Amino acid sequence: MQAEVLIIGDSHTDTLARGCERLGIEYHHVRASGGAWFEGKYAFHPGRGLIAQPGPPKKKLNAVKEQMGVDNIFDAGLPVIASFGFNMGMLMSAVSAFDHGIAAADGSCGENARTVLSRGFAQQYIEASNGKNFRIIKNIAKVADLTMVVPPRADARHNRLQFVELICDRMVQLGADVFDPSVMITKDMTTALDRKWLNEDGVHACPDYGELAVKTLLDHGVFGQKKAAA
Amino acid sequence: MTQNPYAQLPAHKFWRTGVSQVGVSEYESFWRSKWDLPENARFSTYGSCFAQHISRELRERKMDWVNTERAPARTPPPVAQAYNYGVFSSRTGNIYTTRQLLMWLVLANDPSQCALIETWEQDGRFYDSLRPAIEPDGFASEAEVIASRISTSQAFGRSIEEADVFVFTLGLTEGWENAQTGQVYPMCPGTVAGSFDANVHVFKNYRYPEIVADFDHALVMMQSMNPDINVLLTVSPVPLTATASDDHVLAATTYSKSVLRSVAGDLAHGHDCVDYFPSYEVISGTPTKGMFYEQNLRSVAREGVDVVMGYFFGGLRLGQDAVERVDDVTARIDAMIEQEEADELVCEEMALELSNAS
Repeated sequence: MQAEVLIIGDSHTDTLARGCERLGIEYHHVRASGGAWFEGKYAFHPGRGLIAQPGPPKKKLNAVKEQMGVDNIFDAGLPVIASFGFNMGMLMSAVSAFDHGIAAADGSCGENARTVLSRGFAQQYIEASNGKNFRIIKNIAKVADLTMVVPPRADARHNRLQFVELICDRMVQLGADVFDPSVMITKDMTTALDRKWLNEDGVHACPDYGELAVKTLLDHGVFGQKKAAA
Repeated sequence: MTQNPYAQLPAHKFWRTGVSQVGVSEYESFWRSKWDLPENARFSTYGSCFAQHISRELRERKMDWVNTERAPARTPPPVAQAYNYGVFSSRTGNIYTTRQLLMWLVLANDPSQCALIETWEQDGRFYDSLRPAIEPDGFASEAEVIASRISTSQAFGRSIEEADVFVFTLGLTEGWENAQTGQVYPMCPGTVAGSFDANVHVFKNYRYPEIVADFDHALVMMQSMNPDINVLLTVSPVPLTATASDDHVLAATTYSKSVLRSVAGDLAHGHDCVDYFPSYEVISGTPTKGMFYEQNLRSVAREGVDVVMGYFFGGLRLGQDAVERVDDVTARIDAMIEQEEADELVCEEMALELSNAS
């Protein structure tokens, strides 16, 4: 069977891969640690598509290229579901360590906030932190149908919710579609997922979550047979 | 030789030997701080533009500069600068007058009053009337302005509580107030943001007694927050950009600086906990013949700042043993940031830059 989707991103994409497997969907998977994405070990080349720094990132990418039989992974014309560029761990550690609170639209800043950060500042901070990944997203969105999948809402801390909202807005600006599977499960946008949807590490989502996410994407024609029919 | 009070005075007491025969950076016994401070003394810095130089120098010299409203770790310097982090000990923006200082103290003591301060809306963005330029593009909502203002007023309060020395640069006698509410503005409404209403916004040229009264009130409030606080006053040598008085801007500048210099001197004479550092004299005094100003005859040249800071740090008495802090939050945070920034450098070195088309 031919692959129907290209998955790109960090450890959160493992869940999407498990979901594809459960639903019998073939996929290709470019996967690296969150740190590798954050550190800018990947980039986008206008002719070669996704490129990687020599070492493990490049080896992994080359293996996928070989599997696909292409030099540029986007030449296959597959829709892309991706999860990178959120870098929530890095962002959250930076603001939480000193009790910063990002102002929400209603001015609330979280219970423990000692120092308020404006949304304008937070946007600039995110851009500075995740800008390399944003450039990749912008360029992938030009050459492929790109859906960015938000990491599972393992916790609902105020700053996390604000970061996710700002990052999603930015990704939409960059031309990507954004999908947050957690909204299918929780009663509202500010509630954390029940533990049963998470792996033992409490951070990554379980295969059931991945299956639900992929099925939803299929139902919405993001890829799969419906996509082909459309 | 006839004995008189001048006969035994040292050279620096005479203009010829103290000034005219000496280079501007080599005045003898130019300034010694009134207090003997611990070697790890903490300084908070506020005031007009010139106070920013003191903040920066304290930081660069690894002195214990209080920063109670810091940017998150790994904030790139241009972003921090654009949002006015690290300029003063909290993000008050410039505090030009003692009336403004008093207002910040009132807010620090009762942050609930922050909601009563005007917020200005302009083209869908919102501006804090107490610091209209604190965010480069204003705030997203009025609620955000108020939340930020409360946060800053609390940080301002902490910066007084944590400081051994509150350095304050007196900038202006001229200011604007709301005739109905009494609110003071750092700048005339309608200049950076807001709109001017001649029926509401009134010009004030604070006179000596008002400034002294405001400062005395401010000092009482600061001492209630930190009984051991010392206040080091300076007067900004930066001339007025413009005057709203009836005088020529040169005369208005001379008036303003003369009043502030007198106020600072008298306050230092009148309070053990208040001292005056004569940076104003170094920059604007006749011995320099204006050479410490840039071509616009307003901005202070880096060379002038360096000379001032040489006197400042040369005259600070830091002879007391370091004070042990129960919970040295500042040191802890600085250590964490240093570590994080070191880690970040490593990451940056490894980063892929090639062909990352924008």
